[in-house]
Amino acid sequence: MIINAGNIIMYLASFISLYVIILLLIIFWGNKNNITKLKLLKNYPKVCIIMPCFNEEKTVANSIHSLLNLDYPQNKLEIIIVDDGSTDRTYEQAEKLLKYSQVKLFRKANGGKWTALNYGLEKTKAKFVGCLDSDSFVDPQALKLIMAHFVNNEIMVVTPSIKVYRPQNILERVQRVEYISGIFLRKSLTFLDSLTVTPGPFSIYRKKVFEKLGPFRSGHHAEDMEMGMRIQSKNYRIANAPEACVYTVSPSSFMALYRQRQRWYSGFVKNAWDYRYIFMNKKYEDLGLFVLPIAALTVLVFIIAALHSLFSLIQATVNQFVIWQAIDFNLTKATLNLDWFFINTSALLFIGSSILIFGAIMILYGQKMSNEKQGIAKDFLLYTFIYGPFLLIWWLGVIQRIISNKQYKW
Amino acid sequence: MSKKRSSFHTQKYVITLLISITLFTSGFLISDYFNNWRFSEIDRAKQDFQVQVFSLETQLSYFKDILCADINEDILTHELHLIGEKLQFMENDLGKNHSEVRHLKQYYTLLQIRHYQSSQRLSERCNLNLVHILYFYADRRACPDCQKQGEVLSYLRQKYPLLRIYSFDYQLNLPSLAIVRPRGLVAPQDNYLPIIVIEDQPFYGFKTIEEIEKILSDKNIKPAVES
Repeated sequence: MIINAGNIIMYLASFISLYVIILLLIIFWGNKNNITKLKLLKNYPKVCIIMPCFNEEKTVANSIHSLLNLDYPQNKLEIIIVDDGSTDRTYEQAEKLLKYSQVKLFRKANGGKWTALNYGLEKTKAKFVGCLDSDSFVDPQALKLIMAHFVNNEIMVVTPSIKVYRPQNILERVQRVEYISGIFLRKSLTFLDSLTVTPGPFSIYRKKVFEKLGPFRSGHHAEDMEMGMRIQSKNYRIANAPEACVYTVSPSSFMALYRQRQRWYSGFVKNAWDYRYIFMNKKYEDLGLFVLPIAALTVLVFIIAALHSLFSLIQATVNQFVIWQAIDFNLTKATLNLDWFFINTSALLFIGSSILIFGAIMILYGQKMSNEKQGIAKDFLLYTFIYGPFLLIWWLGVIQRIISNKQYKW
Repeated sequence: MSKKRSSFHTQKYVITLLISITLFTSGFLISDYFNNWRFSEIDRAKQDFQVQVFSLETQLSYFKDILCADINEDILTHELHLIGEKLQFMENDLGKNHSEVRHLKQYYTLLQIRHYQSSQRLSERCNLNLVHILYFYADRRACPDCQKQGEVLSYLRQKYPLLRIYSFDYQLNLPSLAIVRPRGLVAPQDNYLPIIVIEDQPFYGFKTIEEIEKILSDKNIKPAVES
């Protein structure tokens, strides 16, 4: 091995990845038995689901229908639709469903998703409150499975498994794998009491959390991350119900996905900065001493390693181009050497292969926990090759956004 | 409202660290195993080649009327290039300062010199019309054009089967290199590398395919074109 700065950063990045993946698996295996011991409630409490909408005329009706189809006592279910000043026919679409007694519809001036959620919070007296994005659909069993976790009085929020709704193109299929790996990740992080996001699609809260900690805040356009961090900062517990599935419409074009990720990742960075006192704070145990610091370090090392790989690739391509130019691109003369001797057997290849195998195990667990029946091998292959470069583009965009202090819209 | 948080999982972090270090080290050990296998491959090829060169040298020295048809000089040349390619792969992977690489490279340089001398004698004795080119290169920092020059010479070697090209690392600390180094190069100036020596005449700096073909033509050297 040639020792230089580039190699050192690549080995550092691979060691951190290997360590984090193995730790998540060990934590998961150590708590695996707790996952199967879930018992459904005998008496279900009243739950209010708030659905904030902004220009979602195509999906809002289906999202409401999915709530109406929940296998949950209908007299214990309240659905509050808050139209945050849509300019399309979202309100009219939702209005058609007012015939169902559970559904209540409100309209307010546009103020952002968090204001719509708070508007809904003011309108309910239910002891459990959830939210569902108007481009997401719930599995009929989801609420029952989530509510079963509240048998533990320490649990203040329960998050579901989120899956991509009917993935079609390459981007959606790559996101499908990412979401399934997220199912495993969220479950493992809950065992460390370190889940810092309560996702918009169908996280259910005890209402008293809002009474104690206050309503939703803008959270740099990532109100679910801000709320998750706020709950953690006050040492309240967040659980995860991987068996409770929610389906979300994922961005199908590169630009839409790019915008979504910029909002998410810059939300992560800015909220992490707002709650920076948690970092390296003994009071927060795993979250403060390991999870948040390693998340920040991983992002930093990933960006440097990915940029190094990108520049090396560009340099090698230009170099090869110049060399081929010297022989007038007479590549038919080039010999393709298939001797075993020339196969790459660098340490990085073996370490990278281990990371890939452990990553595949994580995804298989995510698939199993969320009862995903559809095969994932082909999509995993796509994910392996595409996700890394995408991640680099998203993070570079985030850095540029943060530097320019550009704001996001709904 | 309860405010309990699970304690820091020290034991699991330590176990993970041990497993990670074991796997990480295994990656290096596996890679090292393959590199050792490669070195032994080069060593075996080097020994086989050495026997064949000695055999050729012996025949050239003791038999005035050697049977030219029995001598497969082209196969020997091909084997020499194959060893060179393998050594180059190892150098790219492990660096030129790796002790085993440096040692093998010195040995390979000596083999090239012996092959060059034998090939010259054989060409003369058997009227093979072989054309010998010596190529001196250095690493990218000292010689940015050397990779390009190497590719040009490889291309010419394929186009003209009677060309015999020998590549020498100019920075290699080996006294025997003086045997083949161009004479008269007292104070090397900037950009003098790469150097190509054709028929004892050195040419400095990068030379294109056309330039080398012209030099060969000017010297009335007409190596046969690949059929």
